[in-house]
Amino acid sequence: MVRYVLQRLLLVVPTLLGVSLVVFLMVHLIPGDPVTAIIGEGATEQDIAAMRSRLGLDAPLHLQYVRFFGNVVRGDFGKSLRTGRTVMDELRVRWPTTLRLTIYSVAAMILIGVPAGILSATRANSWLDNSSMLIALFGVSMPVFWLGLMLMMLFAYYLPLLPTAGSATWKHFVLPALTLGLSNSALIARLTRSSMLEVIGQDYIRTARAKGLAEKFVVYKHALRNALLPVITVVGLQFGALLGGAVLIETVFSVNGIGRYMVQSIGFRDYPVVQSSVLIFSLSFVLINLLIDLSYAVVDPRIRYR
Amino acid sequence: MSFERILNPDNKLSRHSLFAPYIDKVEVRDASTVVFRMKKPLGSFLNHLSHIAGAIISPASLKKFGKDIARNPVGTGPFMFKEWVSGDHVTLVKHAGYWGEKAKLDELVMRPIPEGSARLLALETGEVDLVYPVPVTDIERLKKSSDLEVVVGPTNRVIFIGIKTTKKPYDDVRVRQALNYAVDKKALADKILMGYARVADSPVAPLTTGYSKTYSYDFNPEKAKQLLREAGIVPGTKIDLWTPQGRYPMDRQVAEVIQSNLTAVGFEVNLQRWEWAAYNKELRAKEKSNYGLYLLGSLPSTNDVNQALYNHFYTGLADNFYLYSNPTADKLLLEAQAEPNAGKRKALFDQVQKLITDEAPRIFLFSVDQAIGIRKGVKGVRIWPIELITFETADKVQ
Repeated sequence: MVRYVLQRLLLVVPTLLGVSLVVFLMVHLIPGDPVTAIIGEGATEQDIAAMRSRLGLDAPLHLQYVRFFGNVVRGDFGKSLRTGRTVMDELRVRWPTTLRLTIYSVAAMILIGVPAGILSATRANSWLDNSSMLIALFGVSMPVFWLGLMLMMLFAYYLPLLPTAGSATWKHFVLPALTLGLSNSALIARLTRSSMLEVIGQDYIRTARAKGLAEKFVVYKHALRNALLPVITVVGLQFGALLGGAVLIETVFSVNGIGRYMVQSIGFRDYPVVQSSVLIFSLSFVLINLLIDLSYAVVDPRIRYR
Repeated sequence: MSFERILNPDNKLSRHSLFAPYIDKVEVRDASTVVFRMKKPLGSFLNHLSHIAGAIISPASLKKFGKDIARNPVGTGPFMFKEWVSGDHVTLVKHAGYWGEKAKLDELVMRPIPEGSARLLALETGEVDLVYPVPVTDIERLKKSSDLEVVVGPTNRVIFIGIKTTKKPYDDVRVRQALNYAVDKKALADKILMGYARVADSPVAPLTTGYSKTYSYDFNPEKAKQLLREAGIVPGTKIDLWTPQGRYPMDRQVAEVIQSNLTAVGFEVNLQRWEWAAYNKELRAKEKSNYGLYLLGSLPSTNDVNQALYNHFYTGLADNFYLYSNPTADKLLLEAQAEPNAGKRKALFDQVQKLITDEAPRIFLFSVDQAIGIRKGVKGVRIWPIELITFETADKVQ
């Protein structure tokens, strides 16, 4: 197991090198640069050249990359071209918000999706199953920003129970988390249902019932645990994706998270922010994938890593 | 110190060119007198001084914070900076020791709410007291609310279609004038901007110091077609119209209507929608870029006609994406800029505005209004034509 973990961690280095090169090239190849994104009317050619020089953009591209990666290895992720603050300071302000939103959203996704999937699987082809899957279809079909705005209208305007925008208190996270949870729970519900149906059809489940076990033990102790592997994978991937920031929801609800910040930074061509954020996000995604893989061994004792 | 800082080319500040071409040095004569030694006369110098970039910064704070001064501003106004949580909010508090009339508000918190609907909902639920901007499509709806007020005011921002005058077929003034006759500006102002725009009757907006009413090209597609025939333009001629999206009020929608207006007079118009940074880069590439007609806005931040005209229409200057070059205009602009007498300066700029209107390096469209939404009880907020909102006289009555 230890050797397996170390091997996976060693693979992180070439992965990040590749990611850093690809994102550096991509962001520099997009038309426009930070100067043309920021500079206003009346700016002369000298003003533009001065700004470019101040931001270090007049060096050849390969030198800019070497400088960037060399600094990253030393833990220096550079400064935002727009604000002058370090990228880490900017991310440090936003990271807890994104983490909080991710945790709440994934919790909502699981709390809605898994019970819906179990209900559907244990009452397959009943009206409960059909209704549940119809709601799941509705959830996955609706544009998430539209769903967010509709929930905002309902719970912040018509029933003024929750705030519309911001991320100052736990109440500010309810609507964004509910929106993301509802939207993503559809996939979890369907996956749980199909995985449970497959497991429920197995011989050992029939044996468990034949032994006289109560149905809830059959479902939750035997069936669910074996059905969870694919669900854990998808939940983990969703967690990793949400950690990169749910930009539409962060924009609709003005949540000061990483997703919105990254999209704004792309718009401003804030190269250090985009490059460093993608690197950090890639690293966290790789580590989350590792944790998911390791969790299989906990859920399924047959899985052992060497 | 504030001016030495901006004049110093090593600091590479983005508004260096607003002062450096004109100011030689700054001398302190006594505690209440400062002398600006000029390199050359500039009639609109007071306007330049009133620009945000001309604001006085505390020397102690400059020494303390250096390049981080923007994150720790210390100025001369009735509010003090308290905190800036990046991406979340900026808080200002009342400056109890202000030399002038004290602010009535104790605290001001400014938050970005990028989504328009969410921003308006926050106002309607009372979570915030003021929002800016209010989209034109929501102004009438908000006005009907008993809890809210919408304050609409003109700006000095003009929206136009720039024309690259060196590119065929736009190098013929008849074609440029035809383009102006082809576009129904009143319909754009009334239907797309919902009446919150004024059809242009000059290259500059009415509230710009030095504005001179010249004339509007009326909507006359037949005259447009006649001019195009005279210029030898055949129906079906292909042209490109570029527009940004979301940069100016209803920009894309305005461009789409103009596309249909120009199609009606015989052009085949390819409309291209652009992301802002890429658009700006293309325009700044000038001769090297392929643009022909492009939608753009202009707001002279000194609110002076010199800034509105000089950078745009003097040969080879920064914002002259039209690549317009006219020795008469150049001569008039330099004379006007340097003229210290206000009456003579105005007369010279009047001539420039008439010349530019005749030469039509733009399809002159309109100047736009701006709107803020406020909760009833909020008083004294000032909105300025240069798209600034200030709170020195603002108060919140419960």
